[in-house]
Amino acid sequence: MQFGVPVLDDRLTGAPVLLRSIPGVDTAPFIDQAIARQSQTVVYLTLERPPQRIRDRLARAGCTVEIDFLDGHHPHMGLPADGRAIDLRNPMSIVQALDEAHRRHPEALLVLDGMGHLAMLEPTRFAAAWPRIVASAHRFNAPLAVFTEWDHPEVNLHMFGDEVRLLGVQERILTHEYFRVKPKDGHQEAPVMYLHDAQGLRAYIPKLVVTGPSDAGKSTFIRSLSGTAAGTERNGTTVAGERGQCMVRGVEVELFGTPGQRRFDKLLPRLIGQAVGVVFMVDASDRDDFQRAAQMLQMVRETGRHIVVVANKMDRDGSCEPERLAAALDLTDETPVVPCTSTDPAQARHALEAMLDDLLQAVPA
Amino acid sequence: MRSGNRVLLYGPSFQGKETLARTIFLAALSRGEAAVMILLNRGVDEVRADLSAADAKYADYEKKGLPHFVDAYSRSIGIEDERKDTVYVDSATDLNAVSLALNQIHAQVIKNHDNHVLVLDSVSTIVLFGNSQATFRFLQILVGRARQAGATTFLLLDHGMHSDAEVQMFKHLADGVVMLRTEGGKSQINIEGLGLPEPPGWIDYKASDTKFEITGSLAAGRIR
Repeated sequence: MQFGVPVLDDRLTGAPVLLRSIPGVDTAPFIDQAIARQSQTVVYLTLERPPQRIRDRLARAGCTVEIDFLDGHHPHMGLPADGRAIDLRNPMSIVQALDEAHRRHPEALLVLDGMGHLAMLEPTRFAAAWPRIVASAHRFNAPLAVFTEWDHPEVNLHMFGDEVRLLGVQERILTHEYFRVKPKDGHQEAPVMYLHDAQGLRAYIPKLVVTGPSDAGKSTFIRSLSGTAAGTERNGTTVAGERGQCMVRGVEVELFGTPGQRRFDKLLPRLIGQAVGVVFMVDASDRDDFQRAAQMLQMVRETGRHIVVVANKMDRDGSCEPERLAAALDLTDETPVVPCTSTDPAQARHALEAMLDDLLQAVPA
Repeated sequence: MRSGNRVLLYGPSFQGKETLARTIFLAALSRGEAAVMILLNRGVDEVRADLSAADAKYADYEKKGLPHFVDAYSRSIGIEDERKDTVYVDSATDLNAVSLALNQIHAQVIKNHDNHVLVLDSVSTIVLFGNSQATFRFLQILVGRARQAGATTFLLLDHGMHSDAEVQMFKHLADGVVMLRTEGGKSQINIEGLGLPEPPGWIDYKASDTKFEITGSLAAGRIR
């Protein structure tokens, strides 16, 4: 099973996938991208929406693959089925329909959509049928079950396979959607934000702050990564936020530079607010500036964000080695220091990858 | 009534529940507030026609971008219209799509409004396509999130379609209930909860397609 999102696909083991979302998070972009990567027939069980709507949605996304629908929606509404009819009130009917579909299309991708809806509607019958549904689903080449968590069912959902949990941050509205992968028999991995729009589904870091003392090379770093960037300069130094955007390892990253002058220090916590991480730039060739860097770094640490220190301008004579810079800034082993010459896009990219590694490292479940 | 309250509008069919909901919706618009209606058994065009008939200024409210709709009905009968103020949902059974649509509308509303009115028409339709426990769970999440977005929520529930136990369950979702009934040939309204120390008693009202009017005594001004 592949979704075309490298950070997600890399974490899957090849086992069947359970796409498990909280209510109010859209599972369709994940289903569509999984189907878009198929050349085989897709067997699609739908319980909540009409098959024709799904056909239309996939056609808009450019999918032309043949779909064999198992339709639990129309019969539930008292209408003729568009495909093989499924009785929503009898989840065991799904088992028989899956077995028949597997005989027709043994190599198919299987999508079991609306499992959470079924569990909410028929909790007892769903709990009884779930192990048999899983067994039948596992006979397919690539099974994907979609479960919106309206309630906590009395079933072992983990038995399905790798779990991709879709979550969101509830502020005034549900925002900042992210996924967490828990490979079958593995630990839950760190959360990854994502974005879906007309350009498709992709991992996304909505705010990565690039900060550090004046003339550390922040603007150069952002421009080197994004090709273009917007900011306000006066006498060659940035006095208002530089912004840029880039794609690294399939992750879209929004970069926000901060001014480095002392008079902006009070603004720093607010500028860093809501950032996913901080790239802290230091001019490794300017030892006189290390004290200022240490003072700024302390302010950044107090925000509790992930930090990667970039030892910049390493191409200059007398540049301080990363280990010495770490000692000068009193860094712990937890904060990576990456040597860089940010005028070189490849080196800037390498530094940003270190930040991604830090953000995406596995965390215990 | 306080901003953020959740209110059940409970009464038999054809007793003016929908007219009362429209009146509340239009009252919010006339104050310059946003208002959102979730439609599960009528299309947005029909509802807009009713709103226009009830208030000559409705077109002005639309120009100001105040009304918004989640229409989970039109697509199911083959209407493929697109409106800027409406998010269409393929089927009233797709509760997650209804949640998504409301979140999408709230994302617009909260840019300019701290508070707004939300009307859901109706709880009974959701029960009809599912069951009361599933509907309760769905509404619990939906109404909770709507409150965080600044909604004062009105949920329409049909008398005669649900057991007493179901009605009690849905009352748990609300801060109060506005009840409608017919007694001795008169239409009457009463209120439970909403911070009132005791129900004000049954008060006469008249409802037409376009107007909901209290005609009885307001019991020494206990209803405001």
